[in-house]
Amino acid sequence: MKKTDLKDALRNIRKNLLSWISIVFIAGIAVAAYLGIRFSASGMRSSGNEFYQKTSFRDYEITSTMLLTEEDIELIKNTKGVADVEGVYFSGGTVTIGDKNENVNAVSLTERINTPLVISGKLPEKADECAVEDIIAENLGLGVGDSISIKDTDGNTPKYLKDSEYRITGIVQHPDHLAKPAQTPGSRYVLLIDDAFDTESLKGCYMRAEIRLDNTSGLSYYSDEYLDIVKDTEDRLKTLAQKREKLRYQELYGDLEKEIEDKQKQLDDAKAELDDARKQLDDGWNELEDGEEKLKTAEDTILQSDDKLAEAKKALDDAQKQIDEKSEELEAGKEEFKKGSEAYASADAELKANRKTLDDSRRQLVAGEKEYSDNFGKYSEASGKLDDAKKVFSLLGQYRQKLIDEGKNVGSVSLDAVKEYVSQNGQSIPDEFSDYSNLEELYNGIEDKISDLESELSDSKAALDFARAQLDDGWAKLDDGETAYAEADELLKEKKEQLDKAEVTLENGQTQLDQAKKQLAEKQKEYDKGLDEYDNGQSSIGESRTQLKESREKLEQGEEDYSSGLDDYNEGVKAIEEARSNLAGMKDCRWLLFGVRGNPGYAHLFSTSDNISRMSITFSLFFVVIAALVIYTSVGRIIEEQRRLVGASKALGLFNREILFKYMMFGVGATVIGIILGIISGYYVIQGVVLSAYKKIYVIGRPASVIQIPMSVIILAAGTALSAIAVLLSCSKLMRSTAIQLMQEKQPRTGKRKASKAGSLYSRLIMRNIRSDIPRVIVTAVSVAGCCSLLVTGFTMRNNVSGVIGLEYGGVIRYDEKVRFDPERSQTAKDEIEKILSDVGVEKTAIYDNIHTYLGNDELQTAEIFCGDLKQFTKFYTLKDQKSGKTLSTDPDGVYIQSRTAEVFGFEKGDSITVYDKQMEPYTMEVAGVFNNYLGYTMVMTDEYYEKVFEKPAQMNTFLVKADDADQKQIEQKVKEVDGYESVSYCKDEINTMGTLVTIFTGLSGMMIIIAGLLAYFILLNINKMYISQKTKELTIMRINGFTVGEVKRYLLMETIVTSLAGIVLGIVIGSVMGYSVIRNLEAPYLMFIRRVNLIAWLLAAVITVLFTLGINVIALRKIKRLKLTDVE
Amino acid sequence: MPKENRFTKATWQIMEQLLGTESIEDALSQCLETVVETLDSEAGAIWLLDKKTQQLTPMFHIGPADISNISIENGSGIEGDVTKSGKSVIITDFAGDSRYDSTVFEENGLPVKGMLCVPLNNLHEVIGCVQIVNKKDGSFYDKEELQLCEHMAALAAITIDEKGLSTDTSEQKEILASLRNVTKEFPSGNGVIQVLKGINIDIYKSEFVVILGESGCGKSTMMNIIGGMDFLTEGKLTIEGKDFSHPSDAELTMYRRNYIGFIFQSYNLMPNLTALENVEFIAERVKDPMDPKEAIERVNMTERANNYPGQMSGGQQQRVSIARAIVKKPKLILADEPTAALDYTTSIEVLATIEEIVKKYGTTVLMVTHNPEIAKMADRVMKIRDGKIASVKKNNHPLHAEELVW
Repeated sequence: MKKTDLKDALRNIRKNLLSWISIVFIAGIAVAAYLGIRFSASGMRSSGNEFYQKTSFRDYEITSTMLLTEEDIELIKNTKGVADVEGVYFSGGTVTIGDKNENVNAVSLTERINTPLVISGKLPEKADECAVEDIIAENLGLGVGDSISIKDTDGNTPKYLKDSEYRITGIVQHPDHLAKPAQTPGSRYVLLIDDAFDTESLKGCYMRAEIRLDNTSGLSYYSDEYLDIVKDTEDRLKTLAQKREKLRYQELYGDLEKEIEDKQKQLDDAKAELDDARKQLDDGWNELEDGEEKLKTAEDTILQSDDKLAEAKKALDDAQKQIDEKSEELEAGKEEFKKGSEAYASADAELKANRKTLDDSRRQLVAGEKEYSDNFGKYSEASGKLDDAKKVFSLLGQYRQKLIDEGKNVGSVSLDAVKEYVSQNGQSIPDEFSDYSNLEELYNGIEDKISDLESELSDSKAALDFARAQLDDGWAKLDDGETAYAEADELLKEKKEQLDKAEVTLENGQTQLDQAKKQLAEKQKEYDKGLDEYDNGQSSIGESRTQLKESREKLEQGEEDYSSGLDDYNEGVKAIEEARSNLAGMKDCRWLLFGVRGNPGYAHLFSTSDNISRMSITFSLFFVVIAALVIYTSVGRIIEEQRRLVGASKALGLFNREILFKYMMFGVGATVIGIILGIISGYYVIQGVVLSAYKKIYVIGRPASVIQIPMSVIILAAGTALSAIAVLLSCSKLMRSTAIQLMQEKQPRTGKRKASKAGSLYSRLIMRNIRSDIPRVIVTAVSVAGCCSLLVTGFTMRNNVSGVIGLEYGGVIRYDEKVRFDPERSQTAKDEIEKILSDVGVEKTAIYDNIHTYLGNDELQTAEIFCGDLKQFTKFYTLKDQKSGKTLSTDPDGVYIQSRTAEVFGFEKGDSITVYDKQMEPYTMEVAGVFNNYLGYTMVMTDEYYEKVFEKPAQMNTFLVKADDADQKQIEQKVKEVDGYESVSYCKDEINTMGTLVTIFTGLSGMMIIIAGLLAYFILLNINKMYISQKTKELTIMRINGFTVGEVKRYLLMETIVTSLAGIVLGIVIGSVMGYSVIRNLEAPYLMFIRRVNLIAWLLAAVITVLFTLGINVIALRKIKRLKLTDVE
Repeated sequence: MPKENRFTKATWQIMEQLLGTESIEDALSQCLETVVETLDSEAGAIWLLDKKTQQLTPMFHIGPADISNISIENGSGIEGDVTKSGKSVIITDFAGDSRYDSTVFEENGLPVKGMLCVPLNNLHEVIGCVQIVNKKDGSFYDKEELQLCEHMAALAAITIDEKGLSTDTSEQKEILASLRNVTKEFPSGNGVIQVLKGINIDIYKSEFVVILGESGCGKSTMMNIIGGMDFLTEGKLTIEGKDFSHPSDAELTMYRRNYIGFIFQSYNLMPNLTALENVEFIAERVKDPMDPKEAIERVNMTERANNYPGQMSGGQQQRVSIARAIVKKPKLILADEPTAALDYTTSIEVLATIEEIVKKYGTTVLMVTHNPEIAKMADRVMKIRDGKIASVKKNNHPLHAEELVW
């Protein structure tokens, strides 16, 4: 290689930088996606392995249905290939902190195998100390130093534990539980030292044996080599198991048989004792009957005396009552007489006083009459004087008038003259007026006198009238008083007669009463005597009665004792019958051997990483095709552009390889750089995103990133080789051509092309453009298809995963919450909770809901069995046939399994499933149908069928509740107070958990969409640039000929639209297939996604692709405006 | 070289040119060039008098001003005065000279500082005048220089008399495009390169103009500006009186679409369209196109109408390209070295086609070429040198394409 060759090669890259960068990116993205996902899978496994290495995870675990003896442990240890064995005790219980319950397994601490990883604190050293798994600590809010109490369902210390109180010394992670409970449900561990267990009652037996093999050290638990190498020892352990199972069975059978014989003997003795007791009791009862007969007769007699006494008593009482009444009447008569006498005396006195008053009044009236008569005489006299005075005055008046008329002075007329005049007229002047000196004075004096007299007379007249009236009134009253007096006197006389008669009657009554009293006293005496006799009889009957009662009580007690003795005996008989039947039906002893894959946490990580790894292949294959195509076309275009130059180089004597170097530098160089960038970004970015998504799932947090050097080198080599092939292919024509051929104008393609006349000029032109440049068009279409298919895949993943939530909750699961209770702890819990729920008015149904294990693909699998009245149950849970979609019958004679279970383990209707109870006893169920379900591992059956299979009734322990609008918190508060309450779990919480998963897939699909975007961006930009630069001359000519920028863009876009549409259709097809494949890869035995094509994903992908293509075209098409028209020759 | 020697040499040259030539037009134009060069001047012109109309028109002219379309009445202006009086003049003071007519040079982009004007006197009569303008060093002309010019004018007048030269002073031509003081600069490194340094030309309707010039002289740039493919830096471009100096992109596009047909050296046909389709492709866009089939027929390509460019020879492709240009019925066809890539026979075929188009449709054709032989076909030949118009020559007797030989 010459210096100028390198310069030329580098400048060539600089000139075609966009294409070069595109190749770098495409190679990078392809490798990043593939390796990133591969690394992630590997990272998960290596982190898992690291955790298992740190904790010396067991290679095998053996659990026996009949415990493991010391001898068993010893024999396991001596099995070839086994390096170490440790026995483990465990016991289930519940830890309650506040209102939170956590089911736990108290497990004995091992020293060398399955050693827990201490997160904080230290491992327990004393019997009252414990370490708890971090999940328990987290759920219950516990820390080092806190105390916990482990209780069984009855609230007692669990079986095999010495005590229930423990102090936490450490928080740990246990290798048995790599995945969190949401992924692998089951009780987490409380670790105790061996001394905390009641080893005596276990008779030196263990429940479980943890085994390490001698050939696995240094191997990853997840490696194929490991899974291979353990098989030999597994076979030997299985052989040992078969041997030991039989021996253990025989041993236990013998022990049990002997126990039954001993019990039978005890029962026979008890029976004899019981018969004796019966006889004694019967005698006692007979005696009691006699005594009672006698007592009855005595009681009858006394009952008769009782009646007689009562009659006598009544007669006595009546007589006494009569006497009392009569005495009362007599006393009342006497009282009345006394009052009458007193009234008479007072009336008599009053009459006499009245007589005197009347006489006084008469005298006063007579005196009054005399006085009146005197006063009247005086009045008449005064009246005569007045009349005289009036006559004189009148005459004086006439005289005076006469004098006045005559004109004489009235004052000068002498009295004498006046007298004369008066006397002439037959009158005289009274004396009293003789003092006046003249007429005028006289006239005035008489006038005054008349006036005085008239006034005086008027007063006298009034006094006289008043005295008259009074006198008349007094006379009238006196007459009335006389009449009244006469009447009263008559009445008083009558009263006096009556009083005298009454006095005689009273005296007779008193005599009669005294006689009656005497008779009564005699009768009373007789009665008292009879009563005494009666009392004596009564008291002797009472005594007899008490005696008889005591005897009866004794007999009844005896009877009770006998009955309980009999019950004990019957129970004993029953127990022994049961023991016999148990013995007859005693199941074989079974050893359950679990390898690492039998551990749910291990299996979860195994299948998850496997799924991820498979996913990477789907993607990368696709990228590789695109990357190769892009290299091929990019280099091809560059060579075409530099055709003359290559020809000239050849002409100047350069070898093909020297010319090729430049293009190799371009294509292979970009690929190598891209792959290296891809490895780096795969390690950091993709692995980062993927592993972060899984940190919520495993207790170990985010798995550590891993880089696989050999794989990276292989990819680098393969990528280099592939890109070299692509470059070689695109250069092949160039290598074959001679210098002259290359330097000449490119000859038109040979072979007569017939110009088709179909379609418009434009469509013809576009079709011909496409035909003449088919590799580029294919790459464009494939790139668009790539972008679109990734989008379809991403959206399908997201929608089909998140859509499951809607289909599951509301579709299959139609209840809102599960209220769990423990019927063994409280028999009334069911009724109480039912009442609370009824009061709130929510719909509910009681079911049996429990986790069971069953055999699927020859490994133990977990199932949640629902059983109950399916008619009710189906109101809360949809059971639709997976294939036909029809509602399944509600009285199946078998178990309904869910679609995913049927699919993964190959069960069909009519198949048998081996299911285990808690004691790992196997039972056989028949599949009655397959119902459509997405999440979980549910099996459904009627309670009748449950009883048929497990030979015991299903105890309802859960209410499914449709809360609707009810206050769920309030319900929870109420049911919490019920004894036997366990938990309330809400579907919305499960939806949230599912939400986590959806987030992971959303993240993954988001990543895919970004990758799709980047990929499409670079490829399309590159292709567009290529296309436009190739068409520059054509476009410039169009512009020169007056085509507007818009018209030229439309011309270019037209083809883009055709290729994009083709790409979108292709992308949707590929994307749907990829989406299906990815979805299937992501499914787990407990998880099924929607597998239908997702039309919304199609639509979204198509729309985004169109926008993307348009966006890139808009960028590329800007060049049209900048085309230099003057560059054309 | 001393002045006298130069003059002597120039005089000999002029004599050789005039006596030895077959084409009087060529000889006169060469003489004028010799004189302008010898006198180190900016421009020069030979005016001839039409006896019937008594109008003077420039037969040849050299320099940045295109005065082709100017005619002056005998007796008026400096040119008329010299022709009428038969006396030479040296003008130094234009402001003070009432005869000076600024419409001749000034308005065609050349401010006049000094001038020589001598009559073309063929011993019997004055048939015109020779005019030399502006010494490049800014000095005025002296008598010696006047003498050289008079010698040349005398020789030229005698030759014209001998060989005969008819002047065509037909009515003034209608201007299609007009460039005034057009410059074009391109950025180069830190500075700029001025490719066009002030072009003043008029393109008339229905004429066939050939532009000659060395590589890099600016002829293509000028054509790009006229064709609406490039913008001028300074100056003024008018098309049919409308100012196109600084048009918008849309205006230019519509201008190209409706006014201009293009013929390129390398044909530039759409490779994925047949001959007919290539024509249709353009016709579909134009307001009032010719029938594409007719256009194809015009260029005698009917038989190959359905062939793709890749299936045709270069000449055939160029003929399709001409059909594509004429289908628009353009006012102006720009042809940039249309025959450069073709052999002689094919070139003649193509040129004949162009000639026919000009004749038949009266389309103006502006053709850039290296080949001076092709210039003989032109109505006018413009030479460009170093970004300026070096000379404009009117061909009174253009040849037919078939008559060309090279």
